[in-house]
Amino acid sequence: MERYSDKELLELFRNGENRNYAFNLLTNKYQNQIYWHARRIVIDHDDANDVTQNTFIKAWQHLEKFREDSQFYTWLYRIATNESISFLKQKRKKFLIPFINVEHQLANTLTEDPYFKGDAIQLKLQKAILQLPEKQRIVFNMRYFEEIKYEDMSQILDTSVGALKASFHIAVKKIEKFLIGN
Amino acid sequence: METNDNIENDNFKESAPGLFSMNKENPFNVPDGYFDNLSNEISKKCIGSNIDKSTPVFKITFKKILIPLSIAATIIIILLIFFKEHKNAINKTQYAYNDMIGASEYLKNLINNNELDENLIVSEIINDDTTKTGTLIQPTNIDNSILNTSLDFTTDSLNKNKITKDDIIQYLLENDESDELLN
Repeated sequence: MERYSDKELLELFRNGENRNYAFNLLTNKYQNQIYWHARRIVIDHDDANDVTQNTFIKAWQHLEKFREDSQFYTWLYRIATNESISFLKQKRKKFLIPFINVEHQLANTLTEDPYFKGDAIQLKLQKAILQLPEKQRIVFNMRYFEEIKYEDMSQILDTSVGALKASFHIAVKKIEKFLIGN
Repeated sequence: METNDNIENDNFKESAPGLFSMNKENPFNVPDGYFDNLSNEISKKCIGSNIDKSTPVFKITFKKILIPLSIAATIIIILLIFFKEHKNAINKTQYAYNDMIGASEYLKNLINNNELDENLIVSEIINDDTTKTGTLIQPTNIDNSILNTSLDFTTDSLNKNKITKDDIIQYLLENDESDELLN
C-alpha cells in the first residue's frame, strides 16, 4: 500500500472525490494505536472496540474543521482519550458505581478475561496501574507502554510537560510500592 | 515513536528497579481477524453518519471555567467592598474637616457683617454667681484684632489657646465701654 503522510491524506480528504478513500487510509494507519490506547484505559475488548469506532466516527464528522494547529495523530489521540474517559463515566453512572469501584471491578475481571494472556506478574502490574487515579493511569500507560513523547502527550492531554513528568514519576513510585507490597 | 533512553530512564531505573526490569510485552489480545475487519466496519458507520457541523469536537467543560470565574468574581467583590469602605472613610473625614472649617468661616462672616444674633452667643463664665444667668457679648464689643485672627476650632488649637475666665474679664475691662456687661 502506498504510504502517505498525514498532511497528504488530509489534503486528499479535503478533495471531495477522494474523501472516503483518504479516510480509509487514515483509519488503517491509526486503528491499532487508537485501539490499544483505548484498551489500556477501559480494559475490556468489547468496550475498547466501541471506543475505537466512536473515535473514528467523531474524527470523520469533524475532520473538515480540523485546523492542523496540532498534529493529526495527537488530535486523534485526544478524541480517543476523551471517548475512553466518557465511556468509564457512563459506566459508573449506569451501574451507580463510585469511582474507585469501577477500576476495582475491572481489575477483578482480568483474571477471567479471555482476552488477557499475561502471566501473574503482568496481572499484578495491571492491578497496580488500575489503582492509580484516572489521569495518572493514562499518563503512565502513554509513557511506559506507548512511549509517547511528553511534548505530544501535552497536546493530547492539554497538560504541561512538567505536570506530566511529575504525574509519571508519582505513578511509577506508587506502582513500585504496590508491586513490593503485593 | 522513538524509544526513550535519556536521563528519565536512568531515574526510572533507580527509583523503580522492579518496574524497570519487568517485561513490557502486551498482556492483552484480540479476537482473530479483528483488525482486518475494523476499518471496514468503521467506514460503514462513518458514511452512514451525519457530519455534525455545530457541535465542537472537544467540549469546554463547565468545571474548567468555573474555578477561574469564581476567583475573578471573588476578587471583584472584595475590591468593590474595599473601595466603598475607603470612600466612606474619606468622606467622613472630609465632612468632619469641612464642618470645622465651615463653622469657622460661618461665624467669621457673621461677625464681619454684624449679622451675629445676640442670642447665638451667651457667656456664663463672666461671673460664677448663679444669679447672673448669662451675659450677652455684643458683636460690636469684639475687637477687630480678634476678627483678623484665624478662627481655629481644632482641639489642639483650643487646648493651646484656652481662654480662661480671667482672660475674658480682663479683655472686657480693657475694651468694653459699657459697664452693664460687667455688672
